Amino acid sequence: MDTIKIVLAGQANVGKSSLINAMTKSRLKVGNFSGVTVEKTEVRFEHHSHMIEIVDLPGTYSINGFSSEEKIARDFLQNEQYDVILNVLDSTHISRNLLLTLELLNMNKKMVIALNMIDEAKKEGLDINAKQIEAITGIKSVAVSSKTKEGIGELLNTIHDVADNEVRAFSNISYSDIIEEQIFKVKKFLDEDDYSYLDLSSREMAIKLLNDDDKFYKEIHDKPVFMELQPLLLKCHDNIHNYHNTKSHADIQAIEHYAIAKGITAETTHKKTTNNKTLTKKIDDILINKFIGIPIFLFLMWGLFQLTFEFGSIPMDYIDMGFGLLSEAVKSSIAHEGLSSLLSDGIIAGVGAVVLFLPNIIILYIGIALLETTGYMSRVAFLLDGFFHKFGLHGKSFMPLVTGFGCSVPAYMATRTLKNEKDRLITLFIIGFMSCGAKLPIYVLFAGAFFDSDNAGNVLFAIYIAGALLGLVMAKILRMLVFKGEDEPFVMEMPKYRLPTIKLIYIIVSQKALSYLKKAGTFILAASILIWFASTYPKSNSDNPSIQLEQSYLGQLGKASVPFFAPLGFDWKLTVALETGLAAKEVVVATLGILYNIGEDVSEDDNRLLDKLKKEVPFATAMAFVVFSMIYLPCFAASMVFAKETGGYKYLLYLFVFTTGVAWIMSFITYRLLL
Amino acid sequence: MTILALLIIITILNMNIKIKRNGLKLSNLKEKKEAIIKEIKCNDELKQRFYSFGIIKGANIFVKEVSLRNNTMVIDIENTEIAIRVEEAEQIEVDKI
Repeated sequence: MDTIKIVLAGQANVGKSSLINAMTKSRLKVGNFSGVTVEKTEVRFEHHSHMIEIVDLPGTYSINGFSSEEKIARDFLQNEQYDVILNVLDSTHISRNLLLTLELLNMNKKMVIALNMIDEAKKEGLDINAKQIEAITGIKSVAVSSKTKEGIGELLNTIHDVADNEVRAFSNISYSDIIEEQIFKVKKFLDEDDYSYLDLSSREMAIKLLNDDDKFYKEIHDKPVFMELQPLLLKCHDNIHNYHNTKSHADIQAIEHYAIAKGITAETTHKKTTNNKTLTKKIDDILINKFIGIPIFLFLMWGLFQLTFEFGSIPMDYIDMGFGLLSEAVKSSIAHEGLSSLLSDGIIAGVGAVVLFLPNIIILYIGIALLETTGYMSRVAFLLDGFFHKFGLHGKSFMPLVTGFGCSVPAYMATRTLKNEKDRLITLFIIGFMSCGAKLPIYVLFAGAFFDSDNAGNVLFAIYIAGALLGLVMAKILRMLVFKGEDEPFVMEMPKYRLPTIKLIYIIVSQKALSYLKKAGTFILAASILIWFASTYPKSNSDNPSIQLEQSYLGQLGKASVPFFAPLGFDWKLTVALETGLAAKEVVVATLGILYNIGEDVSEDDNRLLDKLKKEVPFATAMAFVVFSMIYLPCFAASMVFAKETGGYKYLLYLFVFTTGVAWIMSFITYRLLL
Repeated sequence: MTILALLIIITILNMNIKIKRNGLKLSNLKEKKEAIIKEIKCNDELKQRFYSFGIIKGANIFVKEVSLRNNTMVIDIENTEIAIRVEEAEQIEVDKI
C-alpha cells in the first residue's frame, strides 16, 4: 500500500487537531511523540487504499519566527521527507492566516489549502470563494468544517490527487511591480543560461535568490554562472532596497506579504452583513474588564479547586481504604514476615500513593483543558501578567502556582501551559514554595503545640503567605541570576471563544492521566520499595518501633546527618522525621509519633504528641523545623514528576540543592532570631 | 527684532522636530481609541512576531482594554484580539485617526 505523508501546518487556534479528528473519523491511531516543550503528533489511517500519515506540527504564526515551536516547524518543513503540506487556515481570519501561507509557498513543496471553520465564517456573514483563492495562489483550496464535516471528503480526495500528481503546481502569487521587475531580470538571466536546480522553476529560483535563501546561495555560489549573476543580483537588491527605503529583508517581505494577503482577501471574501459585534467581543467586554475580570477569574478558580479537592477526596478515601484493606489482607495471608512486609508496606503502599492522586489530577485536568480549549486561559494571562511579570514570571504561571497549594504533582504537570522554556522552568522551581496539602498536618501540629488555639489559625495563615511570598522573591532571584537574558515578548493572540468537543477533552485528559500513571508510577514504586527497605532493615531485636527506626539504615543516615542540622537546633529525631518526609510529607508526623514513643497511629491533633513536643523541643527549634519543612524538597512522587517535566534528573539535583540551601538558610535565620 | 523672530521660529521648528521624533506610542494610546501604525522600532525577533500577527506599518489598530495598573493591553487588529505588554507596545509608533 502506498503511503501519503501529509504535514499539517497552520497558525495556532485554526482547529488543526479537530480537523485531524474529522478526517480520521474513528479509525484513529494517535501516537504522541512528546518532546519536552513542544510536541508533534503523528496519525495514521487508511483512505482509498492509501495509507495516510499525518504529522501535526505545533501551531506557528510564522516559519521565520524565533520561538521553539516555530523553529521545530521550520526544521521539519525544510529537512524532513513528506509528500504534501496541508496548510490549515481559519476562514474567519483569512488575511492574517495567509501570511503563513505565503511563507509556506516559498518552500516550493506540494501544497493544499484547507479553509477551516467555514461554517463559522458563514455565520459571521463572510462569503469566501475557495475557487478564487485557488486561482490567485495556484494552490488547490478546499473549504471545510471539522464541526459539520462539510468538505472533508473533498479535502481528502484533493490531497490524494495532489500527492499522486507528478507535477507540482507552481504558485501564481505576484508581488509588487518593483519586485516583479527584479524577478523578471533574474529569471531571464537564469533562463538564458539554462540553469536548473531540483524541480524549481526559473521564477522560483529567482525569488529564492532575491529572498537571500542560504541553501540555494550555497548551491549556486560554486557555479561559474555566479560570476555574472552576482552584479545583477546586487543591482536588483539595490533597486528593491531603494524603493522600500530599508535594507531589512524581513521588513520588505512583511510589507509585500501583508499587501498580497490583503489583496487576496479583498478579492475572495465578501462580507454580506455588517454585523456589529461578535459573541467573543461581547463576552470579552465582561471577562477582560479591568475591574470585574479578575474577581470573575478568582471565583472560577475557587470553584475548580473546590471541585478538585472536595469532590476528589471522595474517590480518594475509597482508594485509600481499598489499598489499606488489600495491604491488611496480604499481611494476614502471607506468613513470611519479610515478604509480606515488602508486599504490603512497600509495594502496595507505594502504588496506592500514586493511584491516590489520580482523582485530583483528572478533575483538575478537565478544568484546565476546558480553560485552555475555550480560549479563556489567554485572557487569564492578560489579566495577571502585570503582577507576575514583576517577579520574572508569566501571566500563565498563576494556574500551576495556585494548584501547588493543593498538591505539587498536578501543579508541575500544569506548567505545560507555559510555552516559554525559561518561564516554565522558573515556575517549576518555585511551585514547592506553595505549601501543599500534605504539609498541613506538620503546620497544624507545631502551631497547636506552641501557640494557643486563638492564634494557631493566624499562624497557619502566616506560614502559607510567607511561603508564597518567598516563592515570588525566589522567582525574581532566579530570573536575575540563573535564567538571565531578555524576556520573551508577550504578544499573544486571544483566540475566539469556542466550545470544545467532549472527545477532545477526553483525549487531552486521558493522555495526561495515563502518562502520569505510567512514568511516575514506575519510579515512585521503585522509590517506595527503597524507602521501605531503608526503614525496615537491618532488623533490630526490639519490638519497639522507635528503636527499630533508630537502628534502620534510614535512622543511621539521619544520625549521620545530624551535624548538618545542628546549627538549626535539630536533634536526630527531627532530622529523621525530615528525611522520611522525602517519601511523603504525611509521614513526617507519623515518624515524630514513632520517635517520641507514642506509637504509629498518631495524628496531628493528638494531644500526647503535642505535649511531648512542647516539653522536649525548644520554641526556636520548632519554628526552624516548620520553616525547613515549608521549603525543602517536595515528596518523592512530586520530585519524579518534576524531573520528568523539566526534562532531566540534573534539574532534580538543582532543585534539591536549591530548596535545601534556601531551607537551611531560612531556618538558620529563624533559629538565630528566636533563640 | 528680526533676530528675536528668528529665534522664536527656530525654537518652534525645534519643538516640532522633537515632537516628530518622539511620536505617539501605542502604549500612550487611551482605551477605545483607534490609530494607524506609523513605525515599528525593535529587534528582529519581536518584529517578526509583530508581522506574523499583522502588526505592521499602515495597519489599523484599536485599543480594546488596558489593564488596571497599565501593564498590559488588548488591541484589536484585523478583527483579532491580541494581548501585549506595555514594554512591547512602547516600540510601536502610531498616528491617531
